[in-house]
Amino acid sequence: MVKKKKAGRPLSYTCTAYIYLLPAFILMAAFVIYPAVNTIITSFKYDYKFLTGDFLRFSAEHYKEIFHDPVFLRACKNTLFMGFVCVPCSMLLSLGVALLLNASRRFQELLATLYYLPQVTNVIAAGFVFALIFNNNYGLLNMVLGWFGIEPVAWITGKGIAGDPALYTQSYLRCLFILFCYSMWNGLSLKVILFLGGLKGINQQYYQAARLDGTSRWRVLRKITLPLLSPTILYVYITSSITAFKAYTAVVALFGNDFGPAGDNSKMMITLVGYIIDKLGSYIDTGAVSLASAAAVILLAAIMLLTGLQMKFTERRVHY
Amino acid sequence: MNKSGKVWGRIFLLAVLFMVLVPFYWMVATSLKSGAEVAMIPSTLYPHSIRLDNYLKALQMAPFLRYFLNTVIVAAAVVLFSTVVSILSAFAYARLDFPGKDVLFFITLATMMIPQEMLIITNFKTIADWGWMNTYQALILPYCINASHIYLMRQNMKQIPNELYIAARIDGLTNFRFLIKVVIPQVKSSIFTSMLLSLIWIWNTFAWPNLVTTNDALRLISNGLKNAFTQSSGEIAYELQMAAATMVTIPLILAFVLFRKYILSGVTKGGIKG
Amino acid sequence: MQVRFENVSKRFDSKHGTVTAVNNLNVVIPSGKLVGFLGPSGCGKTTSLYMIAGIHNLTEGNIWFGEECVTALPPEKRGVGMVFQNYALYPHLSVYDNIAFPLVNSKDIKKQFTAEMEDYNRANGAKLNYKKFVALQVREAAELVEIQDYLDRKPSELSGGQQQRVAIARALVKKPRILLLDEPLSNLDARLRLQTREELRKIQRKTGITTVFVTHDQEEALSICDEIVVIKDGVLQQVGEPQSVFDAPANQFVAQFLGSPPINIFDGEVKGGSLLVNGKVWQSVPGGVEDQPVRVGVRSECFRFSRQAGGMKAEILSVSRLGGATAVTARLDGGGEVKLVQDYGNPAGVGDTVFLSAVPNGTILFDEAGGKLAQW
Repeated sequence: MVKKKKAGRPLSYTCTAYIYLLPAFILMAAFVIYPAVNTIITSFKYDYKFLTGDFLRFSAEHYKEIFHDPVFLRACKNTLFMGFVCVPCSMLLSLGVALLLNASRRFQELLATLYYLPQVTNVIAAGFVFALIFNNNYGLLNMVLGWFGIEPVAWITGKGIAGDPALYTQSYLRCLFILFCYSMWNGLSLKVILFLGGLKGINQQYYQAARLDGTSRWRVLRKITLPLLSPTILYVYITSSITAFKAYTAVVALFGNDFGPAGDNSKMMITLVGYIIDKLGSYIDTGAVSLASAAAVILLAAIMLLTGLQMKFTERRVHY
Repeated sequence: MNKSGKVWGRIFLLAVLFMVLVPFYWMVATSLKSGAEVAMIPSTLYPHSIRLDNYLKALQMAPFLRYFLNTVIVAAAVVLFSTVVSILSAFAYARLDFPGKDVLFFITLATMMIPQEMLIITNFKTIADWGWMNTYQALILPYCINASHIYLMRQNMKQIPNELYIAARIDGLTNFRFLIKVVIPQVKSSIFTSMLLSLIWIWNTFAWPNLVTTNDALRLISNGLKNAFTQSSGEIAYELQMAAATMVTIPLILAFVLFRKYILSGVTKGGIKG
Repeated sequence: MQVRFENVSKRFDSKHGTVTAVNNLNVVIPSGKLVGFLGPSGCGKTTSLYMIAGIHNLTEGNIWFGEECVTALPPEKRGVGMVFQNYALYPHLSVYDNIAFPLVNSKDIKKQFTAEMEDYNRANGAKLNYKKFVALQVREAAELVEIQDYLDRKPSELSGGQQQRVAIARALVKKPRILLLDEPLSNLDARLRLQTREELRKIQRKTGITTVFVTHDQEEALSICDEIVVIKDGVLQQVGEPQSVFDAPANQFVAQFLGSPPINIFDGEVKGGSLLVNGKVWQSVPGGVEDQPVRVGVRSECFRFSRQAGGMKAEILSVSRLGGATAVTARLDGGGEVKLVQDYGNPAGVGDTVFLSAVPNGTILFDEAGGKLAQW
């Protein structure tokens, strides 16, 4: 091969190119492509036994079954809550922060750095801290509420909720609130940085022209900044939703391995990935891994849908 | 902006900053309190007596130093391998010509969409089948392939003018020498960025190591931290939990403060798990 | 080292079909000369250069360096040095390391220079090691292009002209058989370009190295090259000394491509041995041209004009001074505009009527396809 290369085509290095790609492709085949394909296949295996690999037949029953599983529906609900409530709220807050930061040059770097800290905090540690802040007895929040004469609130409790739907709902809403606070805190960092980057990319000439025309600030924001920032906004929304769809570690840190306050048996705060890992944890049960796989395929489909939307709506295509 | 608008803007920014920093304050403040003070209702706003020995006690509660060492070993190995793997394939995609390049690159990019969480189902079985449960390689290898890092580096390598490559070819450099002598020195900042991002990734990774390690001696820091404070059914010693959380948090924050420029550049270039 | 293109063709396959970049090219580049490949962008001149370097392989034909056929040789075995439009300096290396780069990073060149070092040591009774010998070579090359004072700097700390000289030094340090320059001046500003091209000429004279110089700027090529090769759409148009190509272009393309302002071209007709412009007889045509419609080419400096009737009648439209020269635009009686150069003995004002004639050898006739019919 080497001889031939020298004789014929001086600049064809096909052979070496494949050698450069080999390590990446071995790893990718073993740990990405094969598992992705195999997980899809597994989701269709009925009566699948993880340990032996035996199964009865191929069928799509898991996809029907999973939508009758209340835990899975709960996981979907919580995941959607993160994607469609937490993410937009956190984006609004971050956008406000980024706009103000962009206008004031003085402390921009320092503030942007401080805002970024939650992103480089260990997720488990941060979850612990939030759980403690909302702790019924020793929490910071109840202490502050106490200053205003408000009785301590049982933020995280599962006491007696099993038989009482009203109590259950109350407990659930409080847990959602905690999750909301955590995602606002944690989600700010990245979004502020991304929005700031987008704002800096806007040509200053637009603003100078608007200033010459005497356009009001609010109009400038609405007519110039937001439209020009819209690709960034879309990008941030899509990537943040994808991240939110994959939420797991924070929920475990906040609410424990059972995805809910002590006393709750319904896995109240479980997420889609939580469901996958929970099912995988009981891999000895027949069919559990297939259900986990089906959930994973649904997650993949959701992410592909979001990515597809992004590609459709933006010019930000991957360029070769 | 008029004067009052400016003031309100500042107040808003400071209020948000306050919210961001509160958890850090509460973590450190609690970590310094005595057990009795933590148990007081209502809680105290600041520690009345500083108990630094909480940190020593926390270190004795679980082999945190061991977890720490494990994390460093795994992170170092992942950073080393994944960087080499990424550089090599990014170079092939950026510079070399070969049949099937577009298709292979498309596949590589497409894998960025697949969530890691989907892969662990089969990877778990693979690792079990290979008898790799409770081994370092189980913790390391699946992390060594990261398409977004390949993409980041390729984009950077593409910015090197083609003429440099031609000049090097005329001078008789092999591809590998060109990569070492010309490409790597010029993209070293994005290599460093992807190393830092890998490090952060490993530092926060939880689900996968939790699945493939049952042996306490092999736990990583996140799992160790989680395990140390939930296994006992009794009341959690929050001051120790917070001391441990502080210790786990500090190294990453230090790394961030030192290498902020690199981390943020990687994040803004997009497509990177943050 | 003589370079010879023998029936060389180069075709690229693209999504839109096959593109012929170079079509059956036969050229001899004489040893030790500075030869300019000249043509509009996309004409195949850079492709030809890359084929000499071995970066592009040939679709057909052969390239010879002297008696050696190099068609199958990879670039590093050809012994060529190349200078690029954007200099292609390694930004992370100092000027010294840039120039030394080929000597320390290429196996073939290292072997060659180790041998040279032994010769040098023997001849001079010296005991240089390779590193010292490289330093000597770098210093020599740097002095040749007069950048020896900047060896410690990074390329980004140099001006465009200095960077270009570093690039030349890097190409020359390995003592190539042939030096290839790909649009080496087009990234420089106008003043620097004039200066640098004189220096290029000087360096080439000093080293005597066979040099191929690709440019789209005809003035550049005319001013410094020993020979120019005019190419259009991958097809060779004309080869020769710059002045002779300029004076006697082989076809309408070459006539129009060379010269500034461009040659005047206007319609005419050959009828019974006379050249008619706008239906009126202007000049008699030397024998051998059949009756046909033609294009007439006359360079602006080849017009003479007088006030007395006789010649082609024209009206002066504008007179503009361009520094030293004065450009005059005139409308021909019956249609068509031509540019001329002011005749100082016979100055004309706007609105004047003049009668144009051409200097000897100043009139060129082309057929409708652009081929040359006659010149007198």
